[in-house]
Amino acid sequence: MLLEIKDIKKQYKKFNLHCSMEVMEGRITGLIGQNGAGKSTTFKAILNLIHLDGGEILLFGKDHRKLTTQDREKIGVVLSEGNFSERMTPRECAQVLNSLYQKFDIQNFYERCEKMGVALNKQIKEFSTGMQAKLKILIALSHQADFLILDEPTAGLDVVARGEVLNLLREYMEQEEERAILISSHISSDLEGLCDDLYMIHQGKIVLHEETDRILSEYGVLKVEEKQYQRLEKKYLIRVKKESFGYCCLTNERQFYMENYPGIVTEKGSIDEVIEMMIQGGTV
Amino acid sequence: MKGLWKKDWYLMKELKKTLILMMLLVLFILFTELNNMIFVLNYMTILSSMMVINTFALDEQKNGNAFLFTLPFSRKTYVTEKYLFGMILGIIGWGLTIAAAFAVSMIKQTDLKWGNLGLQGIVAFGVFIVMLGIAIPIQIKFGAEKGRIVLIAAVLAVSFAGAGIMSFLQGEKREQMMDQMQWILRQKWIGAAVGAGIVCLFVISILYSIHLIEKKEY
Repeated sequence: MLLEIKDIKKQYKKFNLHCSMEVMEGRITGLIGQNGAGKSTTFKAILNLIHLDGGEILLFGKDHRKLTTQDREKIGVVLSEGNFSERMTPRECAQVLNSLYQKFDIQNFYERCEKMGVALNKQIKEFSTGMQAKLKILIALSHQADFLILDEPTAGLDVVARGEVLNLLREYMEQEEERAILISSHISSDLEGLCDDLYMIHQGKIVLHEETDRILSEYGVLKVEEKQYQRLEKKYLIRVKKESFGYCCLTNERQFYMENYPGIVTEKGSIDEVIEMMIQGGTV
Repeated sequence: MKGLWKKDWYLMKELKKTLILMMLLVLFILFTELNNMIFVLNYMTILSSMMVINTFALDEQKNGNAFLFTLPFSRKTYVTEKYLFGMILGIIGWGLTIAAAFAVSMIKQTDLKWGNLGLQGIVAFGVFIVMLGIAIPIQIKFGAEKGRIVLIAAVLAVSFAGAGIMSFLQGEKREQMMDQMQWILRQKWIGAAVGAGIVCLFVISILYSIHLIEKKEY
């Protein structure tokens, strides 16, 4: 296991983080949630940028606070905020990275920058938000890391650039079986087509962990009237939300309801709908 | 550390113009009053070494520190590099000023009092090491913006305290104290004691800065 987060706690005045999660080798794990749900705080905790009030984080099987320089070379990071100084150029960043990482491939970095349209001799402050996002990704991918920790890497990118970045991530995973990615995004469609499993975080707590394929194939939203709801088998309902017409119910056994209750409206689950129901709906 | 070193040099390129202006000002002062070296030396070494404070500010911009501390080096290495970088900058400023003084004395065909210059050089070196030892932990504790204010406030507080003590001591007491001070300064051991004190202060400053940065959250 590359990453194990065991019951970590971090208290702020108006926010408490309290979660556990895991990332296995060979997998892309997504962390999804609303703004302020705790995604970036979780990433900061993993990267030892904040101090925990409780719990434990193991990275490569070691306490995350005790990683050596060699261990840290095995991680590629994108933070939603934070990069090299805006006064530097990508060429200068490459020179710095070349001195910091043994496996940094400077020629490959230059070629990728050129391919992605990132000007090597321009100061970062002159870059558009999208261009800055591309540079961050290219930096994270530049040194053959075993594990990528990417907080909102596609923020600020247009549809085409997002596609390019997601393809880069797929290529990265195809190169070596043992690699893994932990990625957060508020754009669920990015994660839908990329992640093997998803963690959903809300108010600092993990509210759902599920295989992406299972969410897309077996989760669903039932739209039922009051009378139908009373007769409904509730064993497979995860969340229920009161609506003007009756109830919206989130299930992880859509097929069961389609077969046994042919009269009710059953919609295929999308990640957005699942998030909405998990957050707004109540328990059954 | 090499990577951090490169990063700071790249950040410094923005300050090239300031450095050139500083050198011109130094040359002007030296041409007008060549033997006013103590002021020029102090001014140049402190100003050069304090440029490291600008690199702190640039690292900190737009949450840059958070990203930097995900790279493969420890926070301890980061702090150590800053002290070394500040020292190197100070030594460059110090060396350039002495070289400029030498060049001006050649052009003006005036004899430099090398004995005085040596002593002034050592004093300037000591002052810049103390300044660096104070400024870096302040920057780490308070951040770039607040740090500047705290540093100015600290310098002002020390100046006012000195002036306050002097105005408090009137008449004989004041003369007595001045006599005692001059007696102390005449002692041979004072140089070694001050030197040792500065080294101790510098080491404490480095250790405290490492402690501060390791406690900090980003």
